[in-house]
Amino acid sequence: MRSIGRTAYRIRKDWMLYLLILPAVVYFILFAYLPVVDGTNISFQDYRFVGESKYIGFQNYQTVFDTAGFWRVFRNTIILGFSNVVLTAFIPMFLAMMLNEVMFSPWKRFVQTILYLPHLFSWVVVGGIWIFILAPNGGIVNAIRGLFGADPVFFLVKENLARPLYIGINLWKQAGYVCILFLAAIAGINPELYEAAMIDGAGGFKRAMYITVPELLRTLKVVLLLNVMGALRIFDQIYVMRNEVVAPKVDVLMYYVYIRGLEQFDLGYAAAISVFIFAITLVITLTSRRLMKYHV
Amino acid sequence: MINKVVTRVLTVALLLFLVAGTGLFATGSDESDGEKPTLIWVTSVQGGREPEENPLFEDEVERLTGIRVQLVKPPGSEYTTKLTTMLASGEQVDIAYAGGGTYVSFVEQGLLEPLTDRIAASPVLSDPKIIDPAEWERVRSPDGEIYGVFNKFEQGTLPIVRGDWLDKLGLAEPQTFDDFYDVLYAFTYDDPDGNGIDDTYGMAIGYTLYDTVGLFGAYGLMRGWAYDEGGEFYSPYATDAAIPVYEWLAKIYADGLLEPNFITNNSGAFRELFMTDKSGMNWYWAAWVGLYNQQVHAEDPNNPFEARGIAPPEGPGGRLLKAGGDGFMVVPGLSEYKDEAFQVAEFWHTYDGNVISTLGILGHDYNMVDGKYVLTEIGEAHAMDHGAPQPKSLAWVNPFGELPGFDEAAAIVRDYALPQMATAHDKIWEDITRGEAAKIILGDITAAQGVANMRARFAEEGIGRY
Repeated sequence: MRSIGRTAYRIRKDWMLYLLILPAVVYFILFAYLPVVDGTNISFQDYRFVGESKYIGFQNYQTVFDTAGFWRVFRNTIILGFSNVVLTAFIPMFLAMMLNEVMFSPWKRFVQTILYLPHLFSWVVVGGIWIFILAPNGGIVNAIRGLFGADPVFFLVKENLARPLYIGINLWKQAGYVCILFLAAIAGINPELYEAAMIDGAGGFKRAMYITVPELLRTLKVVLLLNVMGALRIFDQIYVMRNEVVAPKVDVLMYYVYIRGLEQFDLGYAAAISVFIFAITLVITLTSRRLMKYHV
Repeated sequence: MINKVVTRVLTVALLLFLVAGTGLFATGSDESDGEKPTLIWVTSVQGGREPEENPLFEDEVERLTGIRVQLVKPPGSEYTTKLTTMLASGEQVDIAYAGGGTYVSFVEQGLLEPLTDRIAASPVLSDPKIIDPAEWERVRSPDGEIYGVFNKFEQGTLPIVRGDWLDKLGLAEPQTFDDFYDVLYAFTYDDPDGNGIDDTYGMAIGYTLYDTVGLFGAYGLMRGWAYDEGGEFYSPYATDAAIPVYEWLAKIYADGLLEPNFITNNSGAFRELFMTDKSGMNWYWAAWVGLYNQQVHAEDPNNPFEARGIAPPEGPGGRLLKAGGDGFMVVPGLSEYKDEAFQVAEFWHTYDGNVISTLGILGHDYNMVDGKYVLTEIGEAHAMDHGAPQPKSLAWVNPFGELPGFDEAAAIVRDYALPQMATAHDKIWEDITRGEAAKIILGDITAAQGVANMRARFAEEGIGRY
């Protein structure tokens, strides 16, 4: 009772601030929460665009889990998603620490710009660039191989190369952005810590291991959590870069939802997968928060 | 004090925003004001060739029909998604273009207005001199209704070769698989462009198999799905009968006759290779025989380039090509302006409709000079294509005649082409068939393994008899 009174007092006191935040709240209710409710509802229906849609209980979920193709796509999503989570957190951190050691500022800025540039491109552009770079006829990589007498390789249709390539290209696109987050965090580390360590005789490696890395942990947690939340929602890269040969290795859940829902009009089935993705993402995110002790 | 003022200004702005959002200041629809309704026409093919030309196209439709339309043209790659989303969300759509599998799915979903009675009552569409009545029967749905009006004569795809290269190398038009191999070999290794550099390929295609239907057709196999004796779906391309075709494709790849980007090429890429002396053959729409010739000679009238449509190879199954899948103008069941929408679809097959769908817009794409049509520079560049370069109307005669080579190519298509059956599972068919075919052609697996994989993957998806 007392807490209700306190809340009412706060609202009365800061009513203008609450009013200003209202559009954002309305936006999230309309475009984030209501669609989840609507999607969950559709997942229990034999959905039709026009006319009555019958409720069919858990049949869509049953069909999803009985389809071998779904589990293949789920496996791909886990492999690609969690490789992205780990690599696009730790490698940019490592790069940021290396860049921080560069003393010649113009060179440092140049490398930073080069690293960041791919992040500015859309996946359509990035996909086009890599399809061009790796093409067997006219591609730069194969042209260089040709100079050494090697036969051209159609990299983009090699099943065994598909996942490493897609993970690598995602890293190439995202590394610069994450690297800047870590560089900003490094800039915020108290320089007296380094000075004290140097006086105590700590070398570069020890300073990095015992000062820089621990100081970057909070940023690392944020980056990891953001990556985890997006892990199962990969879509753009696959939509742009996939081809039928490597599809069994790289097709992911969101692409599967898109095809089943909007190309094959099987909206009940697609909604069931969407709810599944939502639930799994929620569980993984909450577990990660707990494991990482996010608020500590 | 300043903080207080800023907060109040923001609050007033917010309130205005919220009130505006509720539509309290809305002025009402066009119709309630007694104005003509504006029909929303969602399409990927009809209209201006450039986005800025669409308003002119809309005005031209209004001038000729008295009906106001507004074109919505999503990018081709996202067309189905955008249209489906608009229909699913109840957005206004009065006329839509729907092709192949999309049309079938829309009918299955009950999204479309049956047009059977309207077509029967239409003096234009029921006129056998304009549209062959057998064509309407062909597209009648199992429930007896017709849900769409044809967009155009869909022609078909066929092998298109460099006729000038054939002549230069002293080669006859190929008739059998062996002949095709010999021609592709000569195009690759006998320097057909005479530049002294080994920079040509026999054949360039895209999307792995694209429209090489004629190769499979030689064994009596049609692209996509077919029904077996038990009435169940099966894929002719996934039968053992298709193995010799995959083996032939693998051989031309291994021998360097097939341009290696065949999996990731889009149609623009292989067209470019063909028009720039890099490949001697592709499989594409009959209309493109004329367009290739027109485009290359527009750049350089002295270029010896000659695109020529030829018959596909003859095999144990005879000869077979793919006719274009029907594209339809449909009227969604939720449209409030069904009568007006149907009138636009009907207009499309009148003489004026044929003119706008081919030549384009009066005063922009063409002018009338002494009672004769004269294309403007823009009209020349648009190559007489504003949604239906070859109208469905049997009464239509293009005042400029057809582009060079088209008539001969169209005759070959008429002789050998059958339409592919459109189903809601076409996308999965494409994915699985093309994926396994590519592995066979690249030599990663044998043809027998490939077709077995196709069948296993169809079974995994629970489609057809597998």
